[in-house]
Amino acid sequence: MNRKFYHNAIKFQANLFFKYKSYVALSFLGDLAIPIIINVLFIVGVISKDTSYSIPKIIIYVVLTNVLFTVTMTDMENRISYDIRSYQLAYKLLSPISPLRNYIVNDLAIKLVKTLTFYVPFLVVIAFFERVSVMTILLTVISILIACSIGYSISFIIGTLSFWLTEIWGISAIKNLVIAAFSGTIFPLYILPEHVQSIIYKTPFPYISYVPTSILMGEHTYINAWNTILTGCLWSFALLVLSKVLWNIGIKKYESVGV
Amino acid sequence: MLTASIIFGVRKALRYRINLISWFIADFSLYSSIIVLYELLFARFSDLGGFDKTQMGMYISTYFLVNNIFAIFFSEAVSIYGDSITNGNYVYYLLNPYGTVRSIISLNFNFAPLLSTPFLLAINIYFMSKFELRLFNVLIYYLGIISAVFIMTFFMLLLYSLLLFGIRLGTVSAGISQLFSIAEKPNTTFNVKVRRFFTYIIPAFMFSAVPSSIIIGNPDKNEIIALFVLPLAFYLLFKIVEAFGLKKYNGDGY
Repeated sequence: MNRKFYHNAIKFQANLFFKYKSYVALSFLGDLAIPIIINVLFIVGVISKDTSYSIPKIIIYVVLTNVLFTVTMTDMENRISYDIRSYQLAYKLLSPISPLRNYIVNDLAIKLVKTLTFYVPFLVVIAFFERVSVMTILLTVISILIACSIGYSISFIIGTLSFWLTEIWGISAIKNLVIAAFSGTIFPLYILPEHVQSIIYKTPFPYISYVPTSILMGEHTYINAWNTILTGCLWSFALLVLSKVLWNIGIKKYESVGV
Repeated sequence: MLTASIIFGVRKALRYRINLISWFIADFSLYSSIIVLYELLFARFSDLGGFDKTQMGMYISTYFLVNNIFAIFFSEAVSIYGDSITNGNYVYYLLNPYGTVRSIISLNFNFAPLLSTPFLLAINIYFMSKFELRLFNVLIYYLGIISAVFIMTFFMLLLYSLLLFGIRLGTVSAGISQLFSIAEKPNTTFNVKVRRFFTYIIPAFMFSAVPSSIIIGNPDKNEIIALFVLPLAFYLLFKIVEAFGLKKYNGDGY
């Protein structure tokens, strides 16, 4: 049944996504093209006077980090919050598929559709031009999986807060801004002073897009990359445990008429 | 009608405290995160596109104010306008004796963002006090801010009026807010063609660069004229598009 569920989820999201051609085009523009163009123009304008940075490298960095950010981040918390506030979660609890799996699979399904449509061609072109080694691709894939795990856990934790706070969109807005700033999508974190960098590296945010991007661009030695991946794993594990604990406590409070 | 709309808006805002708090948290974090972002960049660069820290403060505080006033008076109305065309409720607004846009705006004030206005105004006045000021400039600046709010409103209404032709805008609002986010960035970091595009076509720099240049210094005469002419231009364009769109619209949504 699981296999059928996954298959149907992907098929449903693909049908939904391709239902209107204008939606595909606007989604490409809004999710990817516009943020990339604006961020590239901005960062190139900022660093153009500083000769210590390579502009083509910065452009590749901004493109990659924005692509990876769209792959690894989710706004699943809004759906979770809506279900908790309404009666919808009760239906999901009665379903043979756990709500947790339902949220993640449906979100991953749309991500998969978008990834195959928009992001993979981007990544293939960049990997080709950058002559990326197989080992680097392997490390990048691992770091993307960790990034997804961190991104989904943070979103899930914020969604679960609806059990206590009801409205979480304010916190969700904070999440989006903080992550956009500290995951390195607006500018590369290495342009910041070292003391600021060291503080940001202690948070889980750089692992969402900065770390996979810098690994793919070969800015880590293999040993260094493994160490970074290990730290990312620890963050991912801690956030997964926290999200599970919060869900288990919150579900005891839920009375199917919403909270 | 205006008094009744304001009372309705206040009651709506106070109905769910958590919503009010959420607005404040979201607004506060939005504005703080942009300030932190520029603090971080200024820790590395002495100027951004020729703007020093104080000038940049003035620049983004202008955008904050425009954004905040838009959020209070027009943001909900604009999205309700789009939704009503899609779901067919637009016909009810057409029957309203006060006029479509006016009735939608008066029914959809959102006073929750008003909580952050004193904070934003304080930031704005703080940065403004660091410049040499003339009463005339300050007056034109605040009129410019009001004008910028109307540019934002009529631009969004113009865009949503395309729904009357059955054009599916889908995620367009997300795309437009991405485009408008360029207003937070110093306009001089972009080349002239991009700058012009985002000043006159997608008027994002009208929300930050143009009004703030009145206080910072060296305002471009054409841009200042455009700041006060564009609301009318976008309004007329919106009315024309809406009039043609109404001929196509069946009133049954889609």
